[in-house]
Amino acid sequence: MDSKDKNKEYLKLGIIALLLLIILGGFLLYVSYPLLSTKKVILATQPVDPFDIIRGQYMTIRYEIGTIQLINGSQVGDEVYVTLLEDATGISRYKSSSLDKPSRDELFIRGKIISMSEDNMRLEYGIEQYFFERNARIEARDMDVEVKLSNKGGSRISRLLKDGQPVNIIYENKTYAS
Amino acid sequence: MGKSIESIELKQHISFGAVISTIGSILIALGIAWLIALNWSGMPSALKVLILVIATLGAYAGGVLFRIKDYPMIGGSLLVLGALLYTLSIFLIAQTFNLNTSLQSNAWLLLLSIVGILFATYIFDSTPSLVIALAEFLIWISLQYFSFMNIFSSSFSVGILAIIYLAVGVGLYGLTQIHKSLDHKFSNVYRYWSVFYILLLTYILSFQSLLPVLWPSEFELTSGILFFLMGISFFAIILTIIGVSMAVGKNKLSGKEVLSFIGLVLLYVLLISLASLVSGDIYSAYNGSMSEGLWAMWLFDNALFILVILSVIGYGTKYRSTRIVNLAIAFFALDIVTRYIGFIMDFGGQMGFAVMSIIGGIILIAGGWGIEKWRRKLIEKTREN
Repeated sequence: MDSKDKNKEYLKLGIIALLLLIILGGFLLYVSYPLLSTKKVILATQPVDPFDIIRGQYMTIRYEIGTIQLINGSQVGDEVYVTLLEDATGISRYKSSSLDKPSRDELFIRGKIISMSEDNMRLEYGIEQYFFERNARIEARDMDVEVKLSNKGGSRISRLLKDGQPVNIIYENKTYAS
Repeated sequence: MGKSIESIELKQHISFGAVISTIGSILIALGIAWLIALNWSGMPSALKVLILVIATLGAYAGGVLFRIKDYPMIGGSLLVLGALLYTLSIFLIAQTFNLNTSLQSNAWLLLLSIVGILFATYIFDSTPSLVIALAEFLIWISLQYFSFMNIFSSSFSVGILAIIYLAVGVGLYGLTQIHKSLDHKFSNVYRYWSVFYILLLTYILSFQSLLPVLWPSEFELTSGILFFLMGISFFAIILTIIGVSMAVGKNKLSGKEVLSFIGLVLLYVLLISLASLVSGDIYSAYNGSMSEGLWAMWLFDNALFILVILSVIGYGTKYRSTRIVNLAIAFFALDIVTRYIGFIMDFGGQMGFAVMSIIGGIILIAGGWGIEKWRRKLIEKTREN
């Protein structure tokens, strides 16, 4: 290959490296945006099954605020804003909900209606799964989840808590003999 | 003479040295990879993502270096590795930030992967990367359909999936013609994949148990699915119109082929639509009372399958593509095996199974020899042309 063609190849490499970094960087920024926020809440979970680690080793988490009272005029797929109020134990619980975004002064989380019944509706916030590496063993059930919230109500899990302390995840060393 | 022996010995010496160094490099890389794997679970997420991104860029850089050194095959393989590592990076980032595991979420991630891989494919002019992109596209389109079904609470219909595959096949045919008119080597890859989608669609339509559920009795077309279908079909038709115009304009496509293709697409549209006359449920074919309409449709579909396979063989021969010929023969063999198993299941009984197994085994042995002989003859003929 002559030097002109070599330079062309290096230029192509430079372009693709830049493009992929832009795509990956953009994606990284998009998914980590709520984690850049200083707004932090602790959400109570309904019984968490730590053995539900099947698809790609992740745990399904159900939240107390996962099921709320039905809002008139809402339908499946709508975005709902759940305003939170911190209780004496530091857990943020359901205060109210609305189809309209609350003011910035309020603490709120954004969810989507996935099903509705006569009186209630189930919401999904995008934080219903927590991934582990293989051979993970979690010491405790009934965990709380520390979540970071963006200004628009977007959320990301920052860590799992038990009695206010980070949950210790133990990784067992599996060998062929174990 | 002495000089040439010396130079041969020197070359061998250099080659041997290069080989030893290469083995040494591989061992170092293996050791590093092993250390990373042992400590993976304890690593911070940011470091994991960084390792994967570096590996991705490293694979692409390696691919380019080998291409520069005139090792295009190794370079191509490394570009494929780069594409796969890039896809893994996206999914690892999603896992690190505990993103939703829904079908739609995974579909978005796959779409993001395909976009990046397509950029690399066209910038590097890499055929293997295009194959990866098209393979991921097949997974994405199927995943997206099932996701929409889930989101819009729509009932499953094989007919919608069939239309999607038909539209994609048409779109890929358009891309084939666009690239052919530009004398771009990717035309062969798009041609292969458009044939694959057509054969896949025809194979799906050949199942008597699936015909009643092409348009199930309780099926309702939701607006979301309709817009998705219309969007894909519109895009595919535009691509085909552009491609055919460009190729015909440069005398790289005959009117006869265009008419044959349009005829085939219209036939499929008619076939998929007519299936609504035999709509039922998945048990309709097994409750012992298959309607005459269902029988007629099934026989016609299977006859069409054989006809399409023969046409694809002719198409592959015309374009001197041994890969397309092999693909057609693979689907032919798949058809034989599928019909054989279906025959045993439908006309069951243990005695029947035993007799059918013996007869079937003899047919398969004879057929396998015959198919292989036929395949080699076709490939030889294709190469001669």
